[in-house]
Amino acid sequence: MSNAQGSAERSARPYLIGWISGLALTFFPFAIVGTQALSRLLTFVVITLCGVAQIAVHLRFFLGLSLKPRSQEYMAALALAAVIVFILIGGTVWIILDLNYRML
Amino acid sequence: MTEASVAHGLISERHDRVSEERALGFWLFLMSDAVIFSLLFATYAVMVHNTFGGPNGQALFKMSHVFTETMLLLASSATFGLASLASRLGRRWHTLVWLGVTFALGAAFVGMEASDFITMSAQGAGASRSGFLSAFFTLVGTHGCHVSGGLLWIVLLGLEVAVRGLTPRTVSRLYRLGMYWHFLDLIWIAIFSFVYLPGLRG
Repeated sequence: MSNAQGSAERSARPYLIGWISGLALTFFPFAIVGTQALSRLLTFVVITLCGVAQIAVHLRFFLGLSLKPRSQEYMAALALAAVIVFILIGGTVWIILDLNYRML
Repeated sequence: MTEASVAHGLISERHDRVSEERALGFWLFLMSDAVIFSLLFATYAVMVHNTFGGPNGQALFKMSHVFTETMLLLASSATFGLASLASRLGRRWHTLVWLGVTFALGAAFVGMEASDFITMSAQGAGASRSGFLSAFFTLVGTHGCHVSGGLLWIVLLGLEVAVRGLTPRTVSRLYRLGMYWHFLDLIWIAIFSFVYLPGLRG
């Protein structure tokens, strides 16, 4: 069966790569929070970067998305969803924090 | 080529196309689900400091539990990948075994989360305690409900594979269930990165 991975993937490799990089990208932020090694701001930056990297790894190795034309429609839908998510979360936080500031 | 094999070729080609279209349609559904989750995340971001004198994340979250839950869900995503690989290779029993492992890992995740929720409620930190906890339970609970739904779907599709075997139809359904399962792991990454870890850091 063909899918977003193009021709059907025949080996377990992508899943193992996804799992191992997922482990690494999970251990790291947990270790940083556990040891309280970095300042608050730096901790949040590292957590966010690891989270985004792990989401990218999962999209690539578990969901089989790629930059090839085969995945184009998937990527278009993903990009649209990302824009909507950005507007919703960014807009909400912006408006409410602004309101909060003005009410105090 | 005989007439029958030509007809068979056309049918299987059509089946491939239909299943590809269904996969894309399912992806669109998942993206709309991501938008629902983003609203719950936005609500949480707004409510996170409104503890109304009650406990905050640092007091409530247990790092070892969150870490174990994360490991369970990540491993289940990988084992689901192996189940879908086995289905594409036409190995029915491998598919069923990996689906079983995925189910066990997912059930352990849901069980752990449910017991954490019950402990929190028993400590007087239920959903009605504060704005923060309402937003927390709504967001994490919605994800937990999705995972529970996924578990039910695994059982049903597992039965279908056991009874009917790996027909093009069951393989295509398994593919969409895989998308759903991997997607829930993606949402969990966002939950531990933006809810649990910042809460634990204080």
